[in-house]
Amino acid sequence: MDRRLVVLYGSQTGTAKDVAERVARDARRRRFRVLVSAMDDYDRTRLIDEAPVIFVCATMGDGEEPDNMKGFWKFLLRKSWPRDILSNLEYTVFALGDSSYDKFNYPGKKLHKRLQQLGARPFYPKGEGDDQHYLGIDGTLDPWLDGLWQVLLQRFPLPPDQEIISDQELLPPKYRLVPYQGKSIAPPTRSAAPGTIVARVECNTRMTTANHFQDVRHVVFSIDEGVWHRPGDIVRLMPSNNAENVDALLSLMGWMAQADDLVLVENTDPDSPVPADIPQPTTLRALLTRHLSPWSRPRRYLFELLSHFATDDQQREKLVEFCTAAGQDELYSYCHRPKRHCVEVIQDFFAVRNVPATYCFDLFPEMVARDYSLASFAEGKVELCVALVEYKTKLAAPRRGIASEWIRTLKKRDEVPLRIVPGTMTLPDDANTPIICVGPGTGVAPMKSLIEARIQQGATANLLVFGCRSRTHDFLFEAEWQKHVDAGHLDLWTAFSRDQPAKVYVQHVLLQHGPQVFDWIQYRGAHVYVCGSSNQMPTDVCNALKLIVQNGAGLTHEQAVEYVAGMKKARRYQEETWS
Amino acid sequence: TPNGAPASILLVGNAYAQSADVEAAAAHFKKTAPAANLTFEQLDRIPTLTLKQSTHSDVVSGYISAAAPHPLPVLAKFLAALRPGGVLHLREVTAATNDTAGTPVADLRAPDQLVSHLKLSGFVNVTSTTVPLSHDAAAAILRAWGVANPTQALTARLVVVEARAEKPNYEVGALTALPLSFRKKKPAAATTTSTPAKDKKALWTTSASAPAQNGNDDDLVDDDMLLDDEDRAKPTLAQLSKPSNCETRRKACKNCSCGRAEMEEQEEAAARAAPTKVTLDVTEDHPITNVVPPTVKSSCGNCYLGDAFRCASCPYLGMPAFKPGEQVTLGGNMLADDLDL
Repeated sequence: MDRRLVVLYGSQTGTAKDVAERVARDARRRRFRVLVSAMDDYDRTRLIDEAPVIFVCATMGDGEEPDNMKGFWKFLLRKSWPRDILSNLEYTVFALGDSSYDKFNYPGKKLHKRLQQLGARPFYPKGEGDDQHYLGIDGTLDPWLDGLWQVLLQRFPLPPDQEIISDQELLPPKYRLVPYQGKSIAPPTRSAAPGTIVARVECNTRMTTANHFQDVRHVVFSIDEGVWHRPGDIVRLMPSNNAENVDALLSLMGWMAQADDLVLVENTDPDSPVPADIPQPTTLRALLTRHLSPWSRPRRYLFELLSHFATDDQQREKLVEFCTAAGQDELYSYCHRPKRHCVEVIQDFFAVRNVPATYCFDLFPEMVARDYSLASFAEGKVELCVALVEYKTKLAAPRRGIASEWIRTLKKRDEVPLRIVPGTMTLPDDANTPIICVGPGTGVAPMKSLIEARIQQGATANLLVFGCRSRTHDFLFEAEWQKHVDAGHLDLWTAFSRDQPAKVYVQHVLLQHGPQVFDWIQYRGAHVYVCGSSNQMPTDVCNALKLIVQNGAGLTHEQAVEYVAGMKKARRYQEETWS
Repeated sequence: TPNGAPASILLVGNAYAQSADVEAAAAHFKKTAPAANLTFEQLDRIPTLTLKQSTHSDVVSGYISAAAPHPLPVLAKFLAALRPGGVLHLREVTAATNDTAGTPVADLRAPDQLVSHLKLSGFVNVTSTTVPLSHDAAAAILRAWGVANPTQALTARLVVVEARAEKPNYEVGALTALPLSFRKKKPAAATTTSTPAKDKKALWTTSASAPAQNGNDDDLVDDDMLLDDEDRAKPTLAQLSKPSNCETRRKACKNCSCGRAEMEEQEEAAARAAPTKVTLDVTEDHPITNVVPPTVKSSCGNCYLGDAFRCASCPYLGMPAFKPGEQVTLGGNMLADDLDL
């Protein structure tokens, strides 16, 4: 019997890919042959008579499919397929998402439905991971995997002479670092995804006052004139790690002596090719600086790997415990709740020695690009408005975002690769149609690009509803807004939540001006844009709008809900939120 | 019928209709559209039912009796139950004018309101005609609504609106009608004609290697229609939160009865037997980086280990592990300067 499995993933930030790789490792321990691939990289002609397929499918912000499954997904959606085209296929789906977003796990759920429509048979119920679970994705993934392996081992029993490879046994690394024998050449500094342009930092200034709790950066890049972009577009940046941190990590791991040797990254499994964006040859230092992310949250596999190299029983037992079901609560309070990163874990388990550098891809997650809203609409220039992430947990060292750290240290004239990718928001075709932009905090960034584009069009019915804590501390782009207001190009309503005893937020300002908002929406067809934190704000603003149309048109609450739903459907109410 | 699939009619009755009228209507459809699949449902049950999605070519409601209004949730259900391009035929009593003040019953729609509600619900190509009601017919309806003595002035304020509204046709040019809905636990509805395996393989592989039809989304299924209410449900807070029983840190609960406290006592006794001495030299200038061992005694012996081993009251919690006799080194972000430009 052919004991072969296929694991296909759609992954944007790498989490779904990690899950897919975990499934594959579990499969290899159970003596399955296994192919792991992004859906778009997979040869889909084979799907018609493929071995059982386990799909792992992430969710992007607005319930969209990750980029590396879009082609596959469109292919499945073709109307011309007969209803039984995939009747030979057996599959299951694990969806990943965050239930604080509206369209929770939609891509995974849709994939499950569509495969079923095409005649494929689910051999095991679909699973759903949720970032909001107190144990994260693992909270639902663990029990789902337990069941999956029971089902699969029943269907495909182990060959009589073989056993499951125990967790005590170290699996080979994902990729091998092989000394490069060719001529000594300088390693390429970066490899670029298609569409990448080189931008030059023009300025990087703090927008909030020094006594304000949050450091918000205004970063301006110059780019080639003529690089085409639209208002509401997204700037995708790949951060890199600080050189001193990389040095510290190299000595912590005992890898300093080999840090700058030229190496080739080769795959150990013919079914798992090395990512194309890794330059060949490269160095360990370059990998740790640009391609791997050791200062981010560890995957569970880190603990398993470290346990194989622990030279002390107490530490090894603890590491092993963290990988068991019983150890999950303790792992949570040790690692996930205080937001400990991989390097801190390795420091704590100092009895772990001599981890071969070739395991670096197994130890650390891959670096992922970060998306920021374009905060300008002008030729030859890209502006960002970014709040640097820094907060305290019970750990002594403050938690800082990886990209935030990188942005903090950007200096004038630094050259940075970036990509401009389409955003989700679109302006009305007619410049006479009013727009209402609700963008508190750094949610104002995309609004700035929309409003600048509108002013270029000659549109004057532009309303910005801005909110922050205080007029004096974090009123972002105050001077720019004032200039547009003075020129008669903009109406500006503000909510400064901490400037008076009662907290005033953007939704309150909207409600205060209810009749005018209603007039613009009902009689002038205004488009509404809401951007910012995905927490409470979007819901509050949406509810305020429902109340405004309810009062304005004399509707019942239910009718008002329908009204706003109708606006969303007609793309007259667009949201772009982030967590 | 849209997409060339056999017609499927959902006939909707309501509490004001007589059973004889229902039978007559059903007979009418059987005669005029013998090939059609005819389903019957009562209007007042619609909001609570899960109708089969994207199933019907036509939904007919209010034609048996126009006396029952169609609330927005019902219109939404009709829309979902229709196939793309399917048609809703609807009759409903409304106020005679758009000025609904002085209508005999509360919440009566105006004709324009009915049309706008159909549009709000997602219907397109909405057309409507207003049909006057005779005094007797209007009076009968008012009496059915509980108005004891319908006067001429009251009955004159009612008309019937006949509306025709279409579900957007997202599937123009489809070769095959696709079922857009599935019941749970009924995988892969049996197909009437199954494609031979050889043909399937040929079709799949040639299509798969054909270049992608960029930007031609008309040939794709509308994937938003794939999900039903069950798919849109989210997990509850209770399913996501940590169960709030025993404190699950290594420390046992104060009133522990599970044996953990005794176990820990034994562990601590063992640790006390061979204590490791460490100390912290916390100075103003270097709050954490100068940890110099060892003069002060640790009560559990685990302080030098990381947080994974420290007790809940350990003063070193949150700090990195330090090897006995070694300085604490801080890695990662803590080495980075707070560089302001």
